[in-house]
Amino acid sequence: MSLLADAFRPSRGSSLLRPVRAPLCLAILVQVLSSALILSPLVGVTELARTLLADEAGRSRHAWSIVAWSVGGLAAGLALRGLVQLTTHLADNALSLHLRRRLAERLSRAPIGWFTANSSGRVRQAMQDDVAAIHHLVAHSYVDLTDAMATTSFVYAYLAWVDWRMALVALVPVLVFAVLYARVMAACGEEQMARYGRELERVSHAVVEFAQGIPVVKSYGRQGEAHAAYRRAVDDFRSFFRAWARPLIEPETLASIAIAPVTLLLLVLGCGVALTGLGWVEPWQVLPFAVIGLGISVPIVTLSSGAQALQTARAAAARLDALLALPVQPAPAGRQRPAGRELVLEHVCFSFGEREILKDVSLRLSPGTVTALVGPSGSGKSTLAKLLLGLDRPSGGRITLGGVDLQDIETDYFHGQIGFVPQEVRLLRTSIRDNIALGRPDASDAEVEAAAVAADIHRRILKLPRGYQSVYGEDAGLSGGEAQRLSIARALLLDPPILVLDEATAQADAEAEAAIQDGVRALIADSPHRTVLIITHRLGAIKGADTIVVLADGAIVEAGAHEALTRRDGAYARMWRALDTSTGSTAAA
Amino acid sequence: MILSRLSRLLSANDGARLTGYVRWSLAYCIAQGVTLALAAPIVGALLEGETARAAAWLVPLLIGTTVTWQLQYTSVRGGFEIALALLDTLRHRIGEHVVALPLGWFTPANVGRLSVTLGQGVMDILGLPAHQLTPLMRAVVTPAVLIVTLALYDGHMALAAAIVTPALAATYWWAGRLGRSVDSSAHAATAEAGERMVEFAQSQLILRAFGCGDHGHAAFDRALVTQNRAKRRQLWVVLPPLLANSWVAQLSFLSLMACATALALEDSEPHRIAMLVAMLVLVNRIVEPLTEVAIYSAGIRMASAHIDAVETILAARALPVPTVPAPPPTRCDIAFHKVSFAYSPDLPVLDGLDLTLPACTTTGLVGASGAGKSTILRLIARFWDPDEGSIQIGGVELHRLDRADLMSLIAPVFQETYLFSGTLRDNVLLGRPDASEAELREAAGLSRLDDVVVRLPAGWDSPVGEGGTLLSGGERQRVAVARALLKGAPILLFDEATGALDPESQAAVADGLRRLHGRATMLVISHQLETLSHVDRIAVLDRGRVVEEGTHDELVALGGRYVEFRNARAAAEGWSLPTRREPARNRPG
Repeated sequence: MSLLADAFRPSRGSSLLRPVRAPLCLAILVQVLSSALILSPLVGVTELARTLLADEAGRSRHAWSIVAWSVGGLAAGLALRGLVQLTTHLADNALSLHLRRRLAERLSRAPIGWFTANSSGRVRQAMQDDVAAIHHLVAHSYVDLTDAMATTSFVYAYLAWVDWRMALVALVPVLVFAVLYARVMAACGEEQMARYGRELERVSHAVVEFAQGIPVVKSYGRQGEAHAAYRRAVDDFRSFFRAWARPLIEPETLASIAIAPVTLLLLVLGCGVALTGLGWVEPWQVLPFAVIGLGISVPIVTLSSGAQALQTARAAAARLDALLALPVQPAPAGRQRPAGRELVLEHVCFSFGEREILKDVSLRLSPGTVTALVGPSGSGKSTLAKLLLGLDRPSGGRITLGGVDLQDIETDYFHGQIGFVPQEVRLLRTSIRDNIALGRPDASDAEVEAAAVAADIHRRILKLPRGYQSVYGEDAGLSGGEAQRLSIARALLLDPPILVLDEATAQADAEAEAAIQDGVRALIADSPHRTVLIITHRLGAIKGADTIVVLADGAIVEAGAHEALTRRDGAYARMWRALDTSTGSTAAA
Repeated sequence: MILSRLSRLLSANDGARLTGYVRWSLAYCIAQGVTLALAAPIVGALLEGETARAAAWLVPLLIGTTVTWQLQYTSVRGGFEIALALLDTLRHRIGEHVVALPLGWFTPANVGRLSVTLGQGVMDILGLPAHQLTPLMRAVVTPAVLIVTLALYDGHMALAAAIVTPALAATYWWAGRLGRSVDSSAHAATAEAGERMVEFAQSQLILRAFGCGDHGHAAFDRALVTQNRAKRRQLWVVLPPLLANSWVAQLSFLSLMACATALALEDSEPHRIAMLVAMLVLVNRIVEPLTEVAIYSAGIRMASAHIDAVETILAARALPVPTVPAPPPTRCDIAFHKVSFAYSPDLPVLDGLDLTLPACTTTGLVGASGAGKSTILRLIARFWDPDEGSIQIGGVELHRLDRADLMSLIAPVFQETYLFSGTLRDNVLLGRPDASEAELREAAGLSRLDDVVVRLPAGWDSPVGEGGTLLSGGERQRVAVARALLKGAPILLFDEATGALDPESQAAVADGLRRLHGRATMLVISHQLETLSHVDRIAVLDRGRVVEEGTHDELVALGGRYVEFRNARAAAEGWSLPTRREPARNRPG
């Protein structure tokens, strides 16, 4: 019965099931009672046979009372079973939502770098497939296993009471089954199941990638073939599955043949005939073996498949536990709300894996100033923006707002202080209004529209089928430039004292760019104390910045106003010369 | 019928195998029924005390059992082979189909469904024959055989057993009907939630920057709750018929028990009584499998929902393929003739467009966002077919070309650069997997990717992350350009291919492309007009038509739309951030 002890341990030290422990335990207890009651007609048949065959007075009354008792026992047992199933399913339903929310909560505090290095496929597998495996555990496996174990125990106890020798014989197929099935289970250990999970995850990851990169797949893939990585994932899965499952077919089939009803029938009746012939047992004693012994395969199969489901659930639970144990980015320790607005970087370093992205960067962003960050692609500009936004923590040095380390500032307060237009526009599949109001869900419609007008996207939105209620990705398709403008409106709505624009105009065309710049200009002009950091390649646009910071290879190489930097004839001046060379003919025209 | 649908998913050969498998399974179920029926005469003889007669009956029982074993073994093996065949076929078939679908098919909803179907969906379909169909067959056929043999022994008992079947069939039908009604909404809710999970993971940067980190955005949590509600509703609807099914089946056992009692009490002949009691042994073998019918039917319903999804995906219309493809063109000029196109019927993008790109020339496309520039590029790549008009390469209509031929002609770089997780090298080699190291380096040099390779610690073997997220926007663009150049196609299409690069790199890449001048037909879309200064011809696009066409000088002389564009651009270039200082107006040099 080590199976029993094993069964109720989904994963060592796991707290996944804690919320449903009480209803589960209750359900298991009731299930034991139900299993016993449901057996009553089977015992009844034997007693009925004895009564009917005995030629005695009052056998009619006796026979009918046996039938009545069977009816009563069965009805009560079935009613209890219904109750048990309802209880476990409802408990599970609540648990699934609880687990998904817990995962979401945990993931949203994981280091932002986790998401770039890990796939969204993994998140999806955890939240959908792994939670579903836990569902199976809670709603089905535990109760089914209890039922199977209780039924088997009751049946063999009863059979042993009827005749212990026959009961021993009837136990033989079960032992054969156990030996054969142990081979199957050995191949379905935690390691193998984890591998299965990983292979499946790889396939679903490859699907998402394949679908999202479809323009590239179509124009660079080979004729009639899906994306190579997808095909590889699929083929690898197939080889894994073949190699894993094929050797299991034989022991599994032999095991199920060992406890097949026909096997038991042959054994029990052969043995019964022999023992009756020897006079060791009465004929009626063979009857319960034929009736119940035949049905023993059902709970045994449940036990075995339940054990397998348990393995699956255990692997899923291990994955979930791993996600729930992700290191979280330490939440701001303090709850300060600094009055000052000066954002200061002091000797900030940042590495991602082995790659050192920022090296000893010190920078002061004062209220009412515009700072421009320029430099070759890959010089660490966007990483700097992420650190300023508190999305990642510097691996060395510190960043302060109003003299307070970002770590000590209340999160909500901080988010209200800083607006962001990212390099990569990301719109959510929700209404245009909600996309703009992402940072301020309670903004009024007038405010949302004002932001859209400032970002020059209002008129375009009105042309969408449902205006502001159109859902991005469903009935609102936007071009790259238009999406960019929406992203700017999003930041404008926040009306933050500090604004970070990361290559905000990279995808907009000249007309749109001018419109956006008007919006940004208005934003800066109407709030003279706003701090602005703009990251761009457009040197022309940032000549007027108070400070231009040139970043190269993760370090600041130059900083100062346009004129001063031009006079210095350093990196900044070189960038201008490169621009002039590439536009030489335009300038000449 | 589920079998024919399964067989349609398989190849003809495997389809025949499926039929064979079903026959073997059927034979197994019948053999099992017949063998079990032998219990009645043996038990009857025993109860009558005729041990010798019972022993004689053991011989056919032994034969029957051996035959059943053999058939069971064959059937299980067959089921596994079918599962492997499905595993071999399904994922590749769907992948190959999907890659030929027009780009418009790849909505978030469809991508979500695709991912579920190819992951867990395929696994569920796989298990269908072995885990659902055969058990269901066994649960129906074996009892049916037993009822028939019961009729040979006693008509009354057979009748009593047969009467139960309509009731069982009714609950079965009821369970299916109710189940289907809630399944579709539960499936939809699950797919929606899955999609939201991917979105949640992919949008972390923006969610956190806007302070929605803790819980994700509202739509995400709403999707989780909706999924949970749908599942609970499914539970309330599905559980009652499931319970009813086992109630009806179990109660039927009692009715048979009562029937046997009544018949036995009327009789006084020991042989008849013994036979009636012996028949009760069989009755349990009739009832028990029937209680499981509803469970298997639920499993089949779930798998068939996945088959529905597969069929829906396979039914999506791919772009028509020519039955006899035209020979690939020898010249590579591209001609649009009166081409009209709209993504949605009410918003025309191209409207009777005429445009010719002479072979081995470079053409620049200019126009406001939404003017249809990217659409032209996508139509050349045949991501869609035009609604009206014709597009030809070297005088051959695009739709008459074999897809592979067309794709070998063109190398596009899209506005949204997509990289596949893997290394830098993998991503560039996608352009031409068999490219030599020297060719790889040449492409890297022209696209300025060599700078990135040097900077990254692992060089060419640096991982790029899911979707290329470990690289900056500019680095990704260089990869995409290198990939296109490596392909060595005679037609190069660039859609804002260098927008995220710094001016220095931009100039260098532009220089590289200029070296290809005269060797390939190039189409360049750029918002930065300076990158177009060296092209042979410029076409100005407005509202889906070409409004001006000519060389840079001709267009400047014309003083029309192009000049307006340049002025707007110049305004943007000359524009500087409003600051509280005296803005610098002049460009240096």
